Amino acid sequence: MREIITVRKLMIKRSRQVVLDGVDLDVAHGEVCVLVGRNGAGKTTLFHALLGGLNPKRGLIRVFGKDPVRHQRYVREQIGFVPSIPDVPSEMTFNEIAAFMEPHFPSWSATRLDEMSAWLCVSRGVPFGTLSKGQQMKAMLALALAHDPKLLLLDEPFGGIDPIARKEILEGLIHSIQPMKRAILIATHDLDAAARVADAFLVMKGHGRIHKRMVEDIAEDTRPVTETLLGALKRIQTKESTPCTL
Amino acid sequence: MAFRVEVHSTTPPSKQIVDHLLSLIAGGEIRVEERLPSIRSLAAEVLVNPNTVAKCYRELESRGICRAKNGSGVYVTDAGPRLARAAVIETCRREILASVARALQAGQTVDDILQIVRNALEPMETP
Repeated sequence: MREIITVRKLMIKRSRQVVLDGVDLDVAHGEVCVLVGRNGAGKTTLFHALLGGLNPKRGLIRVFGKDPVRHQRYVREQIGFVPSIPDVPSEMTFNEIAAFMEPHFPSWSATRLDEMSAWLCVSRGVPFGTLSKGQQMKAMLALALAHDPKLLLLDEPFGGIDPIARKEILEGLIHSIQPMKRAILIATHDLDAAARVADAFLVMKGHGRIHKRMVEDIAEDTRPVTETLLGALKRIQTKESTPCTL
Repeated sequence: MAFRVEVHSTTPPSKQIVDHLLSLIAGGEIRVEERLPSIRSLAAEVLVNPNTVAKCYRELESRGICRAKNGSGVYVTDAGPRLARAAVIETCRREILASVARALQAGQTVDDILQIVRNALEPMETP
């Protein structure tokens, strides 16, 4: 399988602080990878690095075989990105945001956007800022899929939303999975959703170091998948977090 | 099909789906030469990755219960219902044995256990 993402010995600093160090990652064509880790592990920083928004201090990042910093436009045109906090002007409507985004994506399809927004029951004519968090997330997902991206990046799509919206987003996410065609990388604390969609789990440890496990390997475990993931997260806390001393 | 995949179970999602399909085929709800739901529709219904459903269908194919017809879907074979019934009965047999072992360990006698089974079966027997 061809790799969509290749990361080797990556180091990223932000405000002189080392956020990521020694990160290795491979995501294959069509693979659905779920990134789990404690708060502050560096999941969002990794996403920004993959989008070409951060210059590595050391190491290598390749997305579709290219350096995302040097070939940012080429890379961004093929990625659908849903940030954890929507990065669109709150006074604009869904339709206005779509019109703003369209020229930046050569493969943009208004028909696809119509299908996805209808499928996700997105409110299209009201200012984005007036929508609920769940509605905003569904709108962002529809917008991220309008150009039929080869790679979909979702940062905390289930954070802080009600159970009905969560189910709708999960349905939308499953609908967007295209085996052998679209790779998806999701950062989430929702282990139930993670266990439903993942082909592989990426457990992120201190400084963003990633341990990848395929679902079929975890299935041999006698515990439920969610318990296995929780166990992995607990081990990170006991081994690598600094004890709190007052 | 009112069926849900439970990810907090010790049974992996793929095995839950295979067991469910085996029950439907064994019980005649999906018959010989009938098409199984499409991979995408079953994935959407039970809320799992389509890759997981595809894997389940491949397993049923490898066991001779179903076969894929070029591009049109996955169908139950002639031998499908018989093989599915055998698989379901084998699962039931293992579950019964495990329950009997637990009951014996808890101090139940063989006669007590047989009585429980008789009592449970009585209302199910046709007059």
